[in-house]
Amino acid sequence: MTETATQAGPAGQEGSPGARVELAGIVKVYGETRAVDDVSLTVEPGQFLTLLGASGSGKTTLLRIIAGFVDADEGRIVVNGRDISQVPVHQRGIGMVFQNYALFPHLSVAANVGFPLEMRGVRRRDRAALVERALEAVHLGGYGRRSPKELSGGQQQRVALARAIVARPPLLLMDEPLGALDRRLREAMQIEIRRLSRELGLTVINVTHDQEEALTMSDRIALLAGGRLVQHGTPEELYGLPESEVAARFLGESNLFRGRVRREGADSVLALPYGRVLVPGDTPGEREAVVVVRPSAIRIRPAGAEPSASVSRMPGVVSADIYAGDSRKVLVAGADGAELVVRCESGAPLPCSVGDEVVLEWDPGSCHIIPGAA
Amino acid sequence: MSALSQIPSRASSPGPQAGPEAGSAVRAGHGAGPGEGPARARRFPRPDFWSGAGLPGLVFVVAAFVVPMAVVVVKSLTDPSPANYTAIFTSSVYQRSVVDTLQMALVVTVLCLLIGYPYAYAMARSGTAMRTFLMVALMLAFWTSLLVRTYAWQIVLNDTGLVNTALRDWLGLTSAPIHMIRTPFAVYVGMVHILLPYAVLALFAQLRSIDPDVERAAQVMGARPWRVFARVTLPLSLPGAVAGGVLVFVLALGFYITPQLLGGARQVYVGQAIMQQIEQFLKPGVGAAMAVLLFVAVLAVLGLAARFVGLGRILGVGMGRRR
Repeated sequence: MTETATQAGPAGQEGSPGARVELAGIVKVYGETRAVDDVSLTVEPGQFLTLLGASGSGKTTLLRIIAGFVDADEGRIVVNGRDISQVPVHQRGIGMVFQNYALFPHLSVAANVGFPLEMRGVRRRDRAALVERALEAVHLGGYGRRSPKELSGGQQQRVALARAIVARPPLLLMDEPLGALDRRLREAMQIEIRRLSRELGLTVINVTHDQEEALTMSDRIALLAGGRLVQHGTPEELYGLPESEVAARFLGESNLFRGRVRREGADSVLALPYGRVLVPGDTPGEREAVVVVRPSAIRIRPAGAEPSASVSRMPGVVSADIYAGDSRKVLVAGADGAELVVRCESGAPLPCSVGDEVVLEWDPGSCHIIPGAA
Repeated sequence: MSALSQIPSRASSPGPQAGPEAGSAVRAGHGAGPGEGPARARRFPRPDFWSGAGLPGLVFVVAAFVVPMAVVVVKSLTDPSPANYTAIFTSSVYQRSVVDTLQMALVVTVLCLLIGYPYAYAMARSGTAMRTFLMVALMLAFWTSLLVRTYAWQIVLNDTGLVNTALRDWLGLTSAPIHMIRTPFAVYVGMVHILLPYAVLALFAQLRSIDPDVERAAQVMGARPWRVFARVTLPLSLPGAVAGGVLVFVLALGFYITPQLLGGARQVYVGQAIMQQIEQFLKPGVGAAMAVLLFVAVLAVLGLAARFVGLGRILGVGMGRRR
């Protein structure tokens, strides 16, 4: 089995390492809009990178530029040291999973999966074994003779995945691969895809607008907005240490406080007309900043309660209490009318009900400062 | 409940034997006898408005098509007798006419598909401006009267027509005119011109329905452009080719004016043969029998094709499920 695979040439190299991909200054302009605006980033071999962003952020255009369907106006795509910007699509040797699977409706499942091998000139005899192995890898062993039309959405997705990896491409692109699946199937496929890409050592570039999917699957996330690269880092960095307001707002729920930070005795404080936010660390002089507080870091206390020492405090009125199974989301209208989000454990009883005046408290260490943001 | 509300009178009135108590019990409960009401509603579905709106069309088809067709069938059997059919089958002239017609229809169909495919492909893949231009060009030909287009070809293909003048006087390539008018060649040219839009539109619709991502998928998996076409685009566009081809073939079978004006005396196609029987030989019965056979042949071709690609697709309307 292994021997057949190695004989098959470049298509069957066992555990071939993923490619190193460098994007350098990619620009794509459509009419007046800069769909992709000077994006540069590097994906290390075997890394799982997610291009995350809202629709119109340029993530799909960027993926299409890497695949070669769209030519960039400026910039280079370098894969394993080779500039492929001018290489035609069919010579790039990339695997790709499309949003609506894009299976060939007139071919059997086996012919679909075998297509990349056929195009690479793998002999018919050797193809069958590789196809079956790829199908087994996505738990569809024995489905080869069926037509794609007979399969469920999830199964079609698996066939598309098998087809994308069968030739062991050094780079796998995925264009919102799980968008059309229901939630449970999506979560199962997330784990499945992650397992496969690790086993095969593939470099993966995945496009999604689903932040949960990005956080779950990725080694690195590149957050895009308006065609620009907003932040590039690990999921922990993007969630815990957002570098900009855009990043803080996009990943997870967050409460943002904007103002001037200054020293008050031993503390650094972001002074607001209706409360005070303690800021960790020393502050030399005054400066503009945005403070990010995640909803789960906030505690709710009754309005009259004794203030705890050295915490941030913020008065407000409970405006909604939303039960969400494993947690409960409480919306509190702050003194300036802005709504704050608090996440509590759903098991513990809430010390308040809708309409009550409360005080929100959180430890200074649990918040994150975006410096210089005005 | 909606089924019940459609037949309120039946549902709310108790049966004749039921006393007042039973009636009130029914009203207090879920309405009428649970199974009975909906079952009755299903057996007599209320015809919806739009199905009813089609009725005048049905009347028209019966009056303008079914009745005359029945007259033709009766005439073919009674004027003077069913021997009309034997006359046809034993006539070598008619047999030649059938062979010539089939051959002509086949050639025209193949030509329409060969010319129409690149045209439809260009139309499907070009930008909005080019697509609009190609569509308008096609429709302009489509909307011009068949008679005008046929006469135009007569002028172009004449011995002293545009083509021959150009070849002889302007280019000096020929000394004597090339004889094109009143040959099968002229018929092919005229008929392809007239029937091409049917093939193009069927192919265009099919090509447009192919998901571009499917072609991109083939490309990204290593297929060169011509292999993408051969392995993906062409097979996926075949239903359109069958639909367009069948439509052209069926229309070509019964064509009369164009062969009459552009064709020669040697090829008498079925449409012309029918006219000859009626007008020249004064045998309307035989002509009627020929018409019946032509009609049956057309139905047979359509029926056969419908088994492969669906009749709705050939006729260009979505039959069956709404999408």
